[in-house]
Amino acid sequence: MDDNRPELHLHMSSKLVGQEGAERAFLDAYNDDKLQHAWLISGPKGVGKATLAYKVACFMLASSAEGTSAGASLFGDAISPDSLTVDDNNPVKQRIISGSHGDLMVINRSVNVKTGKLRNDIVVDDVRKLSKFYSQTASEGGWRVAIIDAADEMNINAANALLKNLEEPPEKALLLLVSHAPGRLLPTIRSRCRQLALKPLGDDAVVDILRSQYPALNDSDYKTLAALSGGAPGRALELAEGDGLGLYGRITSLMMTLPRLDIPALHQLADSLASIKADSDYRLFRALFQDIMQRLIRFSATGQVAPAALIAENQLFETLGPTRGVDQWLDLWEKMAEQFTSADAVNLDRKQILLTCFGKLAGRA
Amino acid sequence: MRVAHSTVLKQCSGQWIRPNFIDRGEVIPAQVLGAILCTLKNPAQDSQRHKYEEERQIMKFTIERNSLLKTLNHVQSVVERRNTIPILSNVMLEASDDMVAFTATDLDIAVIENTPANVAVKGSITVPAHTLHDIVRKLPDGAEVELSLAEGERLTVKAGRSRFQLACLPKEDFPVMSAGDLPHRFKLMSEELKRLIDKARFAISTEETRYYLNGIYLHVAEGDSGSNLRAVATDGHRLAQVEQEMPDGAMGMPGVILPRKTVGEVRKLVDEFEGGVDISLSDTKVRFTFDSTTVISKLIDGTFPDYTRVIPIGNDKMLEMDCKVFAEAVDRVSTISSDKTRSVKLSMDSDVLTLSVTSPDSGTATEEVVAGYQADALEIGFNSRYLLDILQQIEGDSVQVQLADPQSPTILQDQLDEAALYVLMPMRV
Repeated sequence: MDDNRPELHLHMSSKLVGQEGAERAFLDAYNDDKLQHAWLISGPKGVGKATLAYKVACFMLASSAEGTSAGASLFGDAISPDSLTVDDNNPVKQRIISGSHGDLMVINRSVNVKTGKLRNDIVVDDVRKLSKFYSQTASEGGWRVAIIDAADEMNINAANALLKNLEEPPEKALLLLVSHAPGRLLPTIRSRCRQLALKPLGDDAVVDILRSQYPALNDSDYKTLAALSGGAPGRALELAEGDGLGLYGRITSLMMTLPRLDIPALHQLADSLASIKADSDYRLFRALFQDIMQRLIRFSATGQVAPAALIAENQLFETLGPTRGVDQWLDLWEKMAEQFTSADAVNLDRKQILLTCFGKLAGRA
Repeated sequence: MRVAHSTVLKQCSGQWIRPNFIDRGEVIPAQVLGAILCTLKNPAQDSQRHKYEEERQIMKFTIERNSLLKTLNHVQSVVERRNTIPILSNVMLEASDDMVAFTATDLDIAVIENTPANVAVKGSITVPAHTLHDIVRKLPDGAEVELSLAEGERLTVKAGRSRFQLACLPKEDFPVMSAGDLPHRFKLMSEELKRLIDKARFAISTEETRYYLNGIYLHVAEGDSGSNLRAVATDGHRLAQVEQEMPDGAMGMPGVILPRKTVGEVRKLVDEFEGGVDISLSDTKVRFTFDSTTVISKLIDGTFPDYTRVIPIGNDKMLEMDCKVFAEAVDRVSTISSDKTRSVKLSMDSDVLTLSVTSPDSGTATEEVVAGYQADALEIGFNSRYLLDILQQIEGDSVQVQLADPQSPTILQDQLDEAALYVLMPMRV
């Protein structure tokens, strides 16, 4: 049942890299006593949004715990903190990691009790827990912090249920929304939050992180992973862990065979991704494939070539790019995205989806 | 190799690793991790180990089974049966000089009980509450139970020839319910607290959107005869207001809303203890201290509505009758009423009250009750369930009903306990 705990731990233990600007913005609001009650943390997947949210939560809860025990400072204002980092030995941090801090509520996709499976979206009952959390006083006496990870996963009913809490938050309550695509959120939610956009990191920074976690890879692998991650260290680590490089190689070599598609290779790939066990591989594939398509479209629209680490893609662009106009590419891209989404929503056969996508590429290529 | 703290814990099948044992998030070489796991799983092989274990005791105490069971009965009821977070299923044991403190919490309420025990080694740990409770429940009456914990081991529970080893988690992971500063303290006798709770709790709302009604509003009210401590609960259809003579120290306390679950837990404990209950509160927390047991609870963070506006003052039609006879009659005629509305019609004429129910599906029922009534004839409908809830709280032989008209709220009062007042909204029948 403790499905979100490893993830929680990951966010609590990861070092947030390259987001000093965002941290500063939050600290400034905190120190100026102008802390907004709701923050929308946006940015590409894996850039560190949830890590920042947990860091902020830990900071708020740890500093309010200090505040209540020490009381007001005898000599005027206490010193304003200049970092969000909380010492690892802080008991508050310990309790957050074990999931037992009464003043932190994390809302993410819950397990459907009837089927025993993780739901595809955050449902209204999950969000209603927040109302109950906000309706009672804080258990440790300070701030109450709620994290919604990720806000994009809320279905429409859940999003509407959240509005009530966003409009009339109680005192000393902080709501952190993590969002990969803030544009897709309800405008009423967006307008009630202060936005904090996390920027993608430079390739060098991502390579450094990769090097510290996976010391055994070689330089060109680091560079490829960094380029594929689009500046999001979390994605780079995910790719490194799930053999994203191998998968990327298979996708590109398969695409190279276009327009005469290598059917046996395609079936082999689709079979290996369609099984239930290969869920994470399938997700990796989906992200990688969509990224390649994106770069392809960008190439055919602007002539922008692939980053140096992904040099192999250029050949692909040159053969495939001119075969159709930008509008046709965009149309295709949209259809594919739609297909992937509907496949998840109604549990369509994943193999079939793959075959269709490549078929479409080949059909007109 | 990157390992999550919780994964390591899991791999050690619940054995206790000190939290600082593994630097979370740091890179742990696989060999080091393997070595750690090996030492934890390594079975006792050398003879030195026993001696070593003695020295490495973290906690050890013996306690009589019945007093342990009683304590666990008190604390475990707050622990939720289904928990996604393992630590929340646990009870915390803290052994100090001749005393063991048992703490259980659901993050909203914490119950702490101190029980005398024979403590050999002072220390603390948390173990699954329901499992421990079930074990102790099944042990024979009067058994001596020994609980001991060695470093890197599971908690051992020994009684007679039974021996259990329980997975445990460190105390540092256990939630903290800090009461903070509780500036207002007063004492109520347990009968007084029982009365305040019983006579008000039936009216607590279960509607979550109006969360501020999901509890009993305890506050100081200015009455004709000076200040009183007053408990109020309402769900919008009925309201219960119970007053209590002002206890010392309660003057100036903030009005607080005690959540429903807290009310339930406190009520269960009231039965177990005689004598006084110490109540301390601030505007964010409340603490009830019975003899050796303490309940600390969050409060509802909201404003209770101005309920005095809905208590009518000009109701001039007085109806008085035997409470028991009335309640039984309401119960009988309501058998006919359909499940949804449960309405019953009261028709009053001089000294006669006629109860009637007409249901299009199942038929009709009427019953006449002798009652004291002198005003103009009146017909009014009520929800029979609500009426019975109120009549159940009436201690005296007769109940006094103050009516105005078929649309206005009605007051019911106990002849024996004038400090309790109930308001009921009529139904259209």
